[in-house]
Amino acid sequence: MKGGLRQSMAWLHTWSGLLVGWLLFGIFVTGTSAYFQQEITRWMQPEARGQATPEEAVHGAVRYLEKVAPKAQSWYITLPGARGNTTQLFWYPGAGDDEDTSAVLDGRGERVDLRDTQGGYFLYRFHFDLHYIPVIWARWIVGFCAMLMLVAILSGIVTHKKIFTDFFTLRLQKGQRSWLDAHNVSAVLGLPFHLMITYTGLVTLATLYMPWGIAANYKNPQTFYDTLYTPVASTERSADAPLTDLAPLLRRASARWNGAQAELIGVTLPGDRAATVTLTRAAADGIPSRGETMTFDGATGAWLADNPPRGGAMLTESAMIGLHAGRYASMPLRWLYFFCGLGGSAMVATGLVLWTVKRRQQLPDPTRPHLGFRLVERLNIATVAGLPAGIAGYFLANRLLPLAMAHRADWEIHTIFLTWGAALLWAVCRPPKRAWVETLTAAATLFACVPVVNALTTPRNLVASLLERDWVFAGFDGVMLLLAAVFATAAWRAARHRPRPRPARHAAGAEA
Amino acid sequence: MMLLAALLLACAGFAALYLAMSRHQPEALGRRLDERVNRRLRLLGWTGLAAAYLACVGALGWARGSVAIAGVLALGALVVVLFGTYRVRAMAWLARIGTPCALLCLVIAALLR
Repeated sequence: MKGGLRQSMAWLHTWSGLLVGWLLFGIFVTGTSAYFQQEITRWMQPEARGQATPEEAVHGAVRYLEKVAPKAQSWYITLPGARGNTTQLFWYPGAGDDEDTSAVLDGRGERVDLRDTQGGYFLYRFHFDLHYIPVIWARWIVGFCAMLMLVAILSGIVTHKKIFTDFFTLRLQKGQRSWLDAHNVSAVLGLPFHLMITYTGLVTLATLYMPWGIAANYKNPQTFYDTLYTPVASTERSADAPLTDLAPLLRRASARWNGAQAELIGVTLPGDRAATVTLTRAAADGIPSRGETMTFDGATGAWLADNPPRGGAMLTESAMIGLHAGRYASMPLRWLYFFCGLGGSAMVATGLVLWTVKRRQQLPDPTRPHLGFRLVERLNIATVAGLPAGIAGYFLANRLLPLAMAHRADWEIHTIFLTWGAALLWAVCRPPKRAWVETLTAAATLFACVPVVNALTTPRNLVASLLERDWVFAGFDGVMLLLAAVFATAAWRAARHRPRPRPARHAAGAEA
Repeated sequence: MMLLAALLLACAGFAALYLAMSRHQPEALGRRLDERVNRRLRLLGWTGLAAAYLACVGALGWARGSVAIAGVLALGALVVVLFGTYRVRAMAWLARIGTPCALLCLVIAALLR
């Protein structure tokens, strides 16, 4: 009976993992990169330099907005924080304002003309919104993948016979055994992270997947959100009044939040007597992702209100999302998140490869596999080597596309999918082994090119970055070289690989 | 610095747990150990992991430290797995050297404060 349960769990694990594995790999890889979203964006906007204190930044922002959008309905100012170096502005224009609704300022409050790019934000959005398809569909698809991921993790735990005995075991040069070991090690060592990230990932979109709680209690769902989050105050302009100095408000909020800094400033009806200023606590200063807010009178600077009180459920949800996104994490903790994310990507990739390795032995004629086998094999190549190559292509396109190009940011993104598609085409046309070697080599080459092209097209090359102690740029180039080394090693291993003759009677080890 | 100490403690702890498993002993040590020694190694190993947790908490506080320990344990265990695969003879050295190095890190962390 026990064997029966384990076998059915092994079946569940194999097929739930395979069905969503390819997309899951993409979600894991781009989600992992999102831990360095701001750093990636900084690298992709090499024009922006320097750093500003919050007070300088807020003064610069207000100066700029009063010039450009004095009669706007509202302004939103995102301060640089600890990891960014630009101030981002968005506004809803009022009557007579320009069409423009956003700007990026440097530390001194001067507008910087940045190349048109989505930066790290695109990779972050891709990991739950995908691309080229409506966002809602994408979120349902991603949610389905995450649910099956959870199924695969739990059934995998049941399937794995020797979690503790094989805890440290990684045997090399043993064919299927080695792939199973690698899959087990990457899964078991990172298990707390994998469980956490999958579960909390589902929680981030729980109200989309399970809307019935809200539907049963509120006639109009918007009432529910308005009760939880402060609704935007919309009032008519009455009489002009200069906006109060925002810097003292930042200090007051910080004092109230035990030293945590404000990151987002919302101003409604700037320059009016009825103006309000809402400060939101920086995501870096607490685990719950929905930061506390404080609202002030925009004309007098008087305190008006704190954020609406939060119940246990909301705080739990907020903390889970915070745990998932890791926006609170300091640099060392951020690297740990990144490392665990890579471990998760490796787990998915080894699982996908293991599926083919295990079945190749059992094929009636290994030189002429059936269609399903060939499909999985080719998709594995296209995904595991092709997607990372696409991301490297994204970074290269950022440096190589002409700055004046129309829809430049879109073309950077198309580059990912063109490269990825090319890898798929290559995988279909070439014999599998050659395709593995060639696509992995291509990924390694593209990653290795990133620092080189960066050095040729900007003054901020690796040596200059190291001398300036610019850890964002130096770290980015360093990670690119490391990834190039990883893919080169993989390509070399794949090239040297000689399939072993089929063993006469192989005693099955732990199932996977 | 404190987190580095946590990582070293995790490495030392996992190395001790590795050595306490009789299946690894012929390769790593060239002989099998007594069950009594195994038990002592296991105790040492778990103590190392617990100390790693405390170092994480010392570095980042209870909330963040409790998150960080998951990553520190994963990384520490990976180091031990890689040692086991490529440098298994050095495992005993890793178990011995890890804790003093961690203590050194803690001292440096205290001095930097």
